Amino acid sequence: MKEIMMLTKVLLNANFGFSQTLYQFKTNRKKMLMPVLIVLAVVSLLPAYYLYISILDSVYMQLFLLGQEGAIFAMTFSGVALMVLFFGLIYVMSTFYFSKDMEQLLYLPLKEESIITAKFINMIIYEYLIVIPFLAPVFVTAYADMGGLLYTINFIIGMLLVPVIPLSIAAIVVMSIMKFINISGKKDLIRTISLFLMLGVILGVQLLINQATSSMTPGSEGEYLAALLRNPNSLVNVLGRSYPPAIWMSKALYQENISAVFSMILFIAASAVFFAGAIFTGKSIYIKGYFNKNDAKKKTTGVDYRKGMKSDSTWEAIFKNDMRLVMRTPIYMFNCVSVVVLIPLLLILMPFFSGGGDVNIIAQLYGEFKNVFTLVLIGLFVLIGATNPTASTTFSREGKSSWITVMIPAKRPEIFIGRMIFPLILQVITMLFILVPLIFLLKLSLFTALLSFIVGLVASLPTISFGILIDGYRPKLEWDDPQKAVKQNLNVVFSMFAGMGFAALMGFISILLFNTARIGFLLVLILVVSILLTALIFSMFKKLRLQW
Amino acid sequence: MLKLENVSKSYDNGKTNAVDGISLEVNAGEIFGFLGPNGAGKTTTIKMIVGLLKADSGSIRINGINNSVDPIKAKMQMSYVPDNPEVFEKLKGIEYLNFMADVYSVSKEDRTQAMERYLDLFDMKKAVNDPISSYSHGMRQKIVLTGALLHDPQVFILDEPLVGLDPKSAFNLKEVMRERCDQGKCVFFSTHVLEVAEKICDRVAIIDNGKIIAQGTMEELKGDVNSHESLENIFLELTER
Repeated sequence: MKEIMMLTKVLLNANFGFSQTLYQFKTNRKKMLMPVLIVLAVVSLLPAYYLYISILDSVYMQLFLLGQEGAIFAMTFSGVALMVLFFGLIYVMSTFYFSKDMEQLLYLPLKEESIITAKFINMIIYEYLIVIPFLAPVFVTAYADMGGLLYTINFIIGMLLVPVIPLSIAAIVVMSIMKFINISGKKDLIRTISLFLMLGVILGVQLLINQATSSMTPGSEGEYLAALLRNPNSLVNVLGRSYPPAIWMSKALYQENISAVFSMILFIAASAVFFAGAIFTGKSIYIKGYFNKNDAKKKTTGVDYRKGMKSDSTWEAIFKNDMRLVMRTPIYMFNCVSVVVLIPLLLILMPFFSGGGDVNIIAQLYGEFKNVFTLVLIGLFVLIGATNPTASTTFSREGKSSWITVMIPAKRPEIFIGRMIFPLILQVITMLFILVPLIFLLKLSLFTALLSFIVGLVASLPTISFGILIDGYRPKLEWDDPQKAVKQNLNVVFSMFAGMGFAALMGFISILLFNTARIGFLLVLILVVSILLTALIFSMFKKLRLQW
Repeated sequence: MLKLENVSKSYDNGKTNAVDGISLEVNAGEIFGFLGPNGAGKTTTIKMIVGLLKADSGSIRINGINNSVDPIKAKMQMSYVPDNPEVFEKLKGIEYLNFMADVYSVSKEDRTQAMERYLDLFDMKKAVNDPISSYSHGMRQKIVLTGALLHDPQVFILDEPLVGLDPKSAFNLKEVMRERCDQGKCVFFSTHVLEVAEKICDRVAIIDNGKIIAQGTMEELKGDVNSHESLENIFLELTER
């Protein structure tokens, strides 16, 4: 037990980086910007959280009217369990199969089950970041009707235990599957598949919600919810019923003394059984499989390297290197390349599929205000370019290999051009993915399409080059997981704001001059300002000290 | 061919002096060993030479070119092998080599010839078409070494080059170092392995706490401490003064 506690503590510290943050706080205050921004990001989620709480209140009211207020617990606990299960599948994979800490632990005189248990407890604690924000409001909402000491104790225990069963299921499933897959060499494939699966689920849920809301007449949301709950086959009810622990948990909260205690014991016992099952599976399948993986002999392909040997200029070499790194690292590909298809898909297809009737209205608007439409499209392209992290993480993505970039005798224009090309290609593809459907859906004229394409592309240059400038100035090179180079990189945010600022500025000028100037003048103005800005950014890049 | 004059570098806004006014010169045809205990300033010095760090003061000339005045030209004269060969994992060995050849403007014929030779020498021919992520530490080091030799640099700079290499490759690397010097180029490397330094270096410098505390040929160093001791003893004596 002592061993498990000690390991859990060390792993928690390593995963959350407490010691590192503290060290940075003492030695380099500048690096504290990140935690501050995380706090800000959390604060920015508050409106959405408020919405969640109000929905929860209204659902509770509906249930109360139906005399089924206890069902709120079954719903929320099973919902949270489902969420934990879903994230758990991916999380188990990264904790047990992709993280490198096993190699640092396995040779220590520690029991195998201690290592697995400590890692598992770590996952549970991580899940609290999802569980507690979702369940805490439920506690408050129902407190007035059901509150009391037993309710409070049961709720807290239940909330702390709720991730155990779904995470155990996730662990057992993943470990059983992984037993049959030799993951060495397939890590990237597995990551890519799981990322896209996750996205698929998110989009699916989005689509369901869209369809549900569009089939609802305004003002009748309450009735709709009531109908949803009354319907014996509705998702929430099915979920609650097919997941008995949620029913036990729910009974433990709304029933009286003895039966509440009995239900709670049932819930705790079930959690314990699943927990033991996960640890047992870990010991018998995972550790053995882990050793198998390491035994796998590395094969060499031995293909003749002289075939197809050709020499490129420096900028071409830098561009190819940049592109290969993105295309071959799943997390980079997902964040930089797949958005090229997904953003147009979300922007255009989703509303059309789920909404339906809006197409004609927009087509009509386009017919009447072609010039405005051209300008809006250009603005949209600038914004989309700003959200793509390819340029703003170009140096960061190289991580510990970045010494090569610093050391090679490449001139600034070569570096700049080499790193501009791939983001630009992605921008061109995104724009085409938006324009081509619009040509068919809105009967967009080729002239409008061509004009917005050319001006849009030139207008994206300042943002893309700004991304390269900011990442050259302050790249994030210290990371152990490539995810951090993109997901935890502030340069992406800075570049996004820069793009939004530029779009807003040009939009403001266009609105100011729209009535007095001709559209041609406005477009030329955008072109000139974009080129000048890009030149300015390039001259700043030339002066930048690329030494990190 | 490599000349450092009063080079200094400090961290934490001048609070810690990593390198403190060092001067040294490596002549054509010389293998120069750079020795010192952990944290003495070896890697910092090397990073300043190759342009990974900027010196606070002093000048560094590579083949006569000041590396802060004309960094591109200076970089063209040299190549660098770091102590920890972190390279683009997602590239294949051959793609990395071609990238290096491209940025150093090595012609197709020259690079083919150089690759043929060094891949063979370091026993990497069979692995060069595999992703670097599948390489062992030693193999990564060998691919970096090969990449660093493609443009036939005048000044070859290595940080702890023998750590992680198998005996045959280590032997071959030492041969390559010697051969380059015979051609009138020079080699500058840091090491902890004093026996190696003693055997292959024409001259050495010992750095401690950011300062060079001894410099010269092996004989001169032995003379410095008035004895006929091994380099190990000299080193221990000097760094513990």
